[in-house]
Amino acid sequence: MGNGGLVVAGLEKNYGEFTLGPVSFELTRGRAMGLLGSNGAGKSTLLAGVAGQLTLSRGSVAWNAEGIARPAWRHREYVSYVRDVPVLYSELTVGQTVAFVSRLRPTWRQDRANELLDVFRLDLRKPVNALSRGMKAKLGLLLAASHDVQLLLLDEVTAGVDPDTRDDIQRFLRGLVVNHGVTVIVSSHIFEDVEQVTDDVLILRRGAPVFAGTLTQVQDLVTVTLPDHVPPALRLSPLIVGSWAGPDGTTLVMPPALSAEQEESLRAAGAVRRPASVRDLYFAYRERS
Amino acid sequence: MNQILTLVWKDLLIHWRMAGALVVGWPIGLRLLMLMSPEDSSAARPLAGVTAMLSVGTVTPIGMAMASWLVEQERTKETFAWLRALPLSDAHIVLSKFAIVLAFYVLGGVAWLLALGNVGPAMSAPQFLSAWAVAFVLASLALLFQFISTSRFGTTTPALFVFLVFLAALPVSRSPDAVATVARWWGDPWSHAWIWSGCLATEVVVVWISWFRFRSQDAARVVA
Repeated sequence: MGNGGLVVAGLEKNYGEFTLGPVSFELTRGRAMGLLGSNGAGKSTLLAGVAGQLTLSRGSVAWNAEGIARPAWRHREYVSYVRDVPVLYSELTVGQTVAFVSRLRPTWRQDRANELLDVFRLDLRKPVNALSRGMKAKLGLLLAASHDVQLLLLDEVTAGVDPDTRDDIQRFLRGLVVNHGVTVIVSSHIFEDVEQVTDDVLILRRGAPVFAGTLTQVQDLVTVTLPDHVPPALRLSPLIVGSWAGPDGTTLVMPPALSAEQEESLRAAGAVRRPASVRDLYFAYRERS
Repeated sequence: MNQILTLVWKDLLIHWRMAGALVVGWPIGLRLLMLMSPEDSSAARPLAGVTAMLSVGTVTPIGMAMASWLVEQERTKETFAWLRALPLSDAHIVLSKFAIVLAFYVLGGVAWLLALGNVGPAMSAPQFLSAWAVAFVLASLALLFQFISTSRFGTTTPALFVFLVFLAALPVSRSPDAVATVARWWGDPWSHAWIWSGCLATEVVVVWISWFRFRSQDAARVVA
């Protein structure tokens, strides 16, 4: 990887009844990746493993060719990890919490912290235990981003927050990626988060990666909904990424270029065609697995 | 060093009310008790001495409970997981917990000296230091049990340990010869050098085991 970045190689975490991986992927600097999967798919385990929170069963995680596993704590100076509801000290005020983290981060940027306090409308004097879930998520992001962060790992930070807050967070994250070249991994159940913030997508099913690609690759696919049945010309086509049955009929996700015979059978079946979304791909892989 | 000081500062911010009440309130209460005793009363000195000894006996389990609480709260609120996402080593986190307990005991010792004006009734300076060092080691043992056990045993084992020590001391207290030996040993300044050395060696071992155990534990068992 020329300009440096994240390299996850054969990451495995075995809990006995659940095993994550092996998961391997690379993420170049200044790109964002969306991590999708149902509850229990292993998203949080993967993020915690990348963040150096876990002792890995196998594999390695490297940032700019240097390991960021548990013992190498100094590498966490440029890595930030935020959980769904940031775990903070409820006895402290917002100001005390910011002061605490600023003393531990050698590259703390007070100017950025002040800017984010303003943007996120956080009151320094307010106790952390008096903050709503959304405000805690904002404070967690402020603490994670107010230093020269290079790799930002976010575990469902927009879960349970109102649309206004989610919009603030999405715009802030995209700004970090585009304007500051921060590499971001966002785990989310909200497809809009992935579409608004990320460049790449990784889908996990029962601990295993089933899709890894760019958002552009996803958007290049098409979704075809057939009201009645799948025509024989398409049924066994290797082009089909996946399909699922819904209230409007059977939906197929496939590349836009089809054979003349397949196009004809789609027209005959009264198919409705539209560009594929992350949601379409997610459900297509759910049925496949 | 900055990391440990920052963690200690954070713990002081969180626990200053409870720790302050104990560290300052206890010696001041003792001082008031001594002031209330009539100066020329022959009963005043023994009363003060007994109160001081009882205070040490009371503060020891309270100190152990507070030390346990320092780790238990971090574990149950999952703030250890957050600390581990910050640029901190496991050694920083473990050492900071022992440092904050040490800070509380130093503050308590200073408050004691200030409140009483000396090391206290019926105690010499080496005896005061030995009592202080043993109390600190017992609090450190409470921390150790919290670090090595994530279950309720982490809290109950130190209390059981102290209870067994007191139980073992009972037969000694019934033997006049043994009591005389212990009193002579307690009065000999050189024996306190042994106590301090033993406390220091125990402390090093306790900190090392705590660190070794803590680093082998995952921050959180997360599957979601």
